[in-house]
Amino acid sequence: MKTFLLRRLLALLPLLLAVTFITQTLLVLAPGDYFSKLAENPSITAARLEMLRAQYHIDSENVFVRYGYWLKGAVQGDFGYSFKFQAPVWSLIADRIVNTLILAIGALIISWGLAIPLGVISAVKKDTVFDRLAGGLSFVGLSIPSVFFSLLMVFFAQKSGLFPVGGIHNQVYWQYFTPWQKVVDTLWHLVLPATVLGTIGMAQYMRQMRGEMIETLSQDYIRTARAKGLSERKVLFGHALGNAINPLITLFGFSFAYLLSGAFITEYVFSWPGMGRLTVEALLDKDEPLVMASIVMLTAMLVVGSLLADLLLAYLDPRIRLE
Amino acid sequence: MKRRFALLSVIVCVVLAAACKPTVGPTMTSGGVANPPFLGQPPQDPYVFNGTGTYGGMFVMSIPSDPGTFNPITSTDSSSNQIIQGPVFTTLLGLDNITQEISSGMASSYEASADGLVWTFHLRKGLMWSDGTPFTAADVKFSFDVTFDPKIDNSAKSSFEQSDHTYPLVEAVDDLTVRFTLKEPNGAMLINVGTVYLVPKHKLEAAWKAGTFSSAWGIDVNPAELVTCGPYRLIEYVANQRVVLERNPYYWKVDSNGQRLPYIDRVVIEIVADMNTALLNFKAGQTDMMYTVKPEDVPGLRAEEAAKDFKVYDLGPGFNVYYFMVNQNPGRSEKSGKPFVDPVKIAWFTDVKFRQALSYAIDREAMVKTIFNGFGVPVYSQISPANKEWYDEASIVKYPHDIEKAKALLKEIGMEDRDGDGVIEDSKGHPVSFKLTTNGDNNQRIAMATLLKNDFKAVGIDVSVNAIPFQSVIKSLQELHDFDSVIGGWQSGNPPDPILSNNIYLSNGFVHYSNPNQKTPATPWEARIDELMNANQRTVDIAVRKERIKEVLHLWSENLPEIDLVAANYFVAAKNRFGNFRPSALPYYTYWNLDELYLTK
Repeated sequence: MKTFLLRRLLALLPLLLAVTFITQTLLVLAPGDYFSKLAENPSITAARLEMLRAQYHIDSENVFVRYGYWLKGAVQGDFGYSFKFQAPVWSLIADRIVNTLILAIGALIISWGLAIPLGVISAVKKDTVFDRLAGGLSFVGLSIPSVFFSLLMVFFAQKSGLFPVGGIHNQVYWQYFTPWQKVVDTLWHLVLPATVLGTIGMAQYMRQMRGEMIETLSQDYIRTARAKGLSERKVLFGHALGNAINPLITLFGFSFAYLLSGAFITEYVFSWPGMGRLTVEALLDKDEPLVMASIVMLTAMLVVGSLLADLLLAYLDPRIRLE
Repeated sequence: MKRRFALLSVIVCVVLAAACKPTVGPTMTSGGVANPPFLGQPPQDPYVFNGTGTYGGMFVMSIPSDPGTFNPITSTDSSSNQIIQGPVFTTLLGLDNITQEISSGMASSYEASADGLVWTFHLRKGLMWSDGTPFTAADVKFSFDVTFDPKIDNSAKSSFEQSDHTYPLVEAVDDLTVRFTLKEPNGAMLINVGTVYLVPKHKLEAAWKAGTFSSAWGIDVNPAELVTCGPYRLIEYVANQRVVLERNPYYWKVDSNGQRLPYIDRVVIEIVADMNTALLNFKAGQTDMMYTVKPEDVPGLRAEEAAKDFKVYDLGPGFNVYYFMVNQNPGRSEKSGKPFVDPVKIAWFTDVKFRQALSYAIDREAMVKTIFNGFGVPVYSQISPANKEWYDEASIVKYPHDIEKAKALLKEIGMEDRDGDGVIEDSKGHPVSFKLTTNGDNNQRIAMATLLKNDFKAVGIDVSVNAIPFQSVIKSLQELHDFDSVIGGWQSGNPPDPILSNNIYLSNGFVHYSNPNQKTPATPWEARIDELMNANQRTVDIAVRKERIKEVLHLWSENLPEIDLVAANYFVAAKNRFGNFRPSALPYYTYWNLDELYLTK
């Protein structure tokens, strides 16, 4: 177990090196840099741009020089200052990670909380109206673009007045709320974005759950269980579900990591102050230190997410041993 | 089970919605009492605003991204500027956005010596920083010393630079008098002085001496340390969420009743990245103002004006100008030795008659109609008609849509369709065909490219549109110089004095994109524009400068280094609850006079 953990964490190092190097290469190769956007300002001078580029160490076009400079700082724990915010990159990421976790957990509860029961029922009631409806719902969830779905929800919020139009808190009164009101206020803001992300995830996992469950239900040991005269409830939840859910646990690890990084569009439309938005905005601005640190963070999350899934799987399935 | 879930979620939603009605806290509306109250006394000779209002309340707006810093000297990004430059910090002088004239500010008066070399500014008596410390000439000198420090990057510095790369000498003569000594007259002196935001010596001198001024007052600043001289001071900043400002109790303006400004107690600026969400936020009543509304959103917004009690304001043509440009750079790449542009095409592009023909071929009215819903005007100069001080209709050569004139001009330079394929050929038989580059992320520019393609087709010129990312366009313009033609835009300077656009006009300017960085002017008219603009740089007399700009406008529009296209109208929207609301197409559109705004309900 210990060696397994150690091995997995050690494997993270070459992965991080490769990912950051590729990111740096792309940052150098893509045209323009952080200061290009000053170009439509008529009063900027060429000398000033040159000075800025030298000051921020982005004047070299050589990938190895640029990467070497970054790596030298990174191994000493210095990931640099964001160009835009002039603040240490980790402090910026720390600010956002909590908000991203809130959204991710909300979305996970919705997607898994709906996907598993709906998937199980669809499998049990295969080819009934319920199954068709659930199937239809999941196809809608799979095919609806998240940007459209998000905008639709924001529009719904504005028209109905039931929910706030974006944001994570009531920005005007937040500091005057009691702790309980703060919790409720955050949850109230969370409902719509979590629904968007949750629905999209739900659609996928429900199909997966249904497939696994149908396959499990056709196994011999299920027939045996039924022949023994066990109640249908015990057959489903005691014998079938535990076996059918295994592959989904691996998915769970990745879905968590995906939510941390891939919720950008929803975060953007709902003005949710999360990691995805920070990373993508940094990328658009070419705020290099921030991009690099975010990439490191997201890669580590992905690895840790899949590691957690493996551990959970080992815990749930006695056949699996981690060596 | 499904029904139970549905029921549960409905109940949760209703409970949440009910529990979250705003409770205690500062009031939204004006109550007639200033809270927080004013402290100390206003200056003995305060700035007097000609008008009145009532105290209290708060106003909420949104901006698209986080500020990068709260340091008004080193700030370069627009989000920081729109929060701190004006609402939080001010300068020695002010600008009236409506008359577009420079007014007094923290300095009550100024005078220049006859030779324009010595400028003296007199501060108001009894000015205070927001922490109650007296504001003196030493603070002004400090702010300028920091600005001129070669190690500190800032956008105000370059316009003060003199021919020998030195900066004016700044002296605090006494507590109330600041003197600038120049080596050569500077026509933009007042404008430049108005771009240096004043910072407190007693808070920042230590950081400057320690060499950490550039990172001082970053986004992690303790709001209590951020001592200001503008109408507001910072109370709270939460990344990606909000900036909260509160009245500076020592602000130096009063109204005509002798009441101190500002009227509004508190300003909340939310950070809303998505433009559509920001608009919906405004429609839902969560924010009070939209400082910009896209022309395509205007009809939808107007439809809700009455029901939601807000108003959309059409401020007429904005300051930003769209242009089309053909590459007139005859140079060669240093790396490959190849010419930047195909020599055949350069021969066309450098021919002024060809450019004039293109300008006649463009249907600008159609552009305004289809792209801006009719909210815009054709322009023929880099200066927009919105610019009251410097625009001069009479000096500008215009090119109203005229296909016959365009064809006649093309024929004059030997371009006509000899083989009957619909595309004209030049005198050597090359078909006239070139690429048009613009950034694909900008819908308006893409739409313009499509219209231009059709317009040029009508006179037999074949254009293929090439949409690439913004960064690639800039790289092509500034480094590679390898484009055939391009559609771009100029942002407005503020104040909109053309002297701030020298880099565009001068032939050695690096954003003189038609043919940048010239060692000696390539054409007589570029030489003449250089001469006029350089003379303006050294002239203080505004009447003389205006005459020269008229000639520049004429030369520019006659020779068309860039073919200017349209200026879109500028729209803003605000709830019907503001007094003294005087929106302007210059930054910061709806709240440039934030200190004078008050709430009527």
